[in-house]
Amino acid sequence: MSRLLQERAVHVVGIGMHPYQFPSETPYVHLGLTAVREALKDAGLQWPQVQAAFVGTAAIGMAAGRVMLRHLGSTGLSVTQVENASASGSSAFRLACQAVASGEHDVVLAVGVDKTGHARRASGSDGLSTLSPTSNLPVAKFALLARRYLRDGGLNIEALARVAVKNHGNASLNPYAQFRKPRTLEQVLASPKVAGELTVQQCCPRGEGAAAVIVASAAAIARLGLSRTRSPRVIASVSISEKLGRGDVPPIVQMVRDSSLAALEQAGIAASDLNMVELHDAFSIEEIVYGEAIGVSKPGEGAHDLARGDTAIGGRCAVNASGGLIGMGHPIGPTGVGQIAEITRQMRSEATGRQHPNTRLAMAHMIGLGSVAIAHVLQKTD
Amino acid sequence: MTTSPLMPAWGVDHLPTLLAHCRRCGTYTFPSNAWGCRECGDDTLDKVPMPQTPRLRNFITVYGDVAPGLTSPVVVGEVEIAPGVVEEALIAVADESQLKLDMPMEAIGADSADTQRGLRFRPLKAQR
Repeated sequence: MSRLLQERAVHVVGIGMHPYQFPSETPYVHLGLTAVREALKDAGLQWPQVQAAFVGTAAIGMAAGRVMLRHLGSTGLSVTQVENASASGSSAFRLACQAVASGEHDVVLAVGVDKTGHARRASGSDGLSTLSPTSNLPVAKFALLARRYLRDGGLNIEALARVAVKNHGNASLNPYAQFRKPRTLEQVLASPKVAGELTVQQCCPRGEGAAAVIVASAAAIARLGLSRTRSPRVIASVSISEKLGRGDVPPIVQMVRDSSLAALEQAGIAASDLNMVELHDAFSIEEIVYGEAIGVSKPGEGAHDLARGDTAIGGRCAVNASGGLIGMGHPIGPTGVGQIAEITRQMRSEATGRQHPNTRLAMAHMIGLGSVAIAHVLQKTD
Repeated sequence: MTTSPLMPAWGVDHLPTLLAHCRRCGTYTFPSNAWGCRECGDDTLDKVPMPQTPRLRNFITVYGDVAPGLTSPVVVGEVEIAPGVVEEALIAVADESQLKLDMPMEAIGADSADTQRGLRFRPLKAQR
């Protein structure tokens, strides 16, 4: 993939969203089409110009893509549905990039769309039992990780809660976010406890929504008269899964470290070159430990960097300027695609009200149940 | 306790065969009916008991009703049941004040008064 992305440039030419929202009766087709039509309009493309579509979804059911996309016209394009838990959208985006980088297609859609409540986890069907009913529940896993991090670092619970304060604040400025209210440290800490030190406001909500991006080759940008300067380039794409733990580093943290390092190497940059990261903060502790694993913060310094404002909008490296999963929401299928839309918006300086200055190099990093990790690096196009 | 061939609810009667030990690489895997060694993937596995006194590596209290059949609040721990095998498990204590990191534990079953089923852990008697 690294060679392909270097040989044949892939650019994000269009982005669109349906706001993330609490579960409703709105059909998924409406959610998805809203995002796709917005992306087409943003790019200045017509639907027949899109040659393939990858649809990231975890909870809707089989063959969601054609059922939704036929309302744009039956063009006969390639349609592939992608399920990879929380990383479904990221995986759809990666496949879209591969389709362009390989030369198979010139203009490809990645769309994430989901409704909450219908997803089934394969971990309950492997024929094996666990010792605890919490064993496959992320909230318990990350509450345990939070307890260890706070203990090892001699930190108090405010260190965790500041993640939620920052991300709810960012989300309050994002018209596509599920939560639109800033929260104080006192409010985050006073919200009901869920597990360990994690309170409700430090956990992502359940929800629904859609996000769409259209990627295209440099040749297509020129041929179709699209805006090159509004089209960031994808310079790295990495996908890995979890290995057994070694030493004191939890396997999931090691997976984030390995995937982000591979992406940075593929992009030919250092972590210190990143000035924006969108990552999987389903629970507050994740932003801190993943930020350290990616290299945004030095080991053990994540909470301190957050408290200093280094990871705020306007700081050294804005983390989850969108509001992240905690604030913007985590409808599963759309989440990874929404990260790409946010980074693109920021690189175009179109993130009104929450613009991070001079966003030139950014990483979108997602994990999914299982566990899998997907990392992309985007570069502003001058 | 409800059991079935594919989905045993672990109880004290399963303790002699709780883990799988790989004949090829020596790695322990939980549970013993895993489909292959978690390290090398080999399927020549022997069912064995815990090779060491289990140790409590971490613990929290779960407050919300986060899983079917789980009565909260409940203490959940990470228990090392074999070298390198750390599993989430229910800890049979009233609250966290009775626990210390790395303390030795013992496995117990549920009694008829318990609302939680299956195997749980508590501090070894000498530690209580």
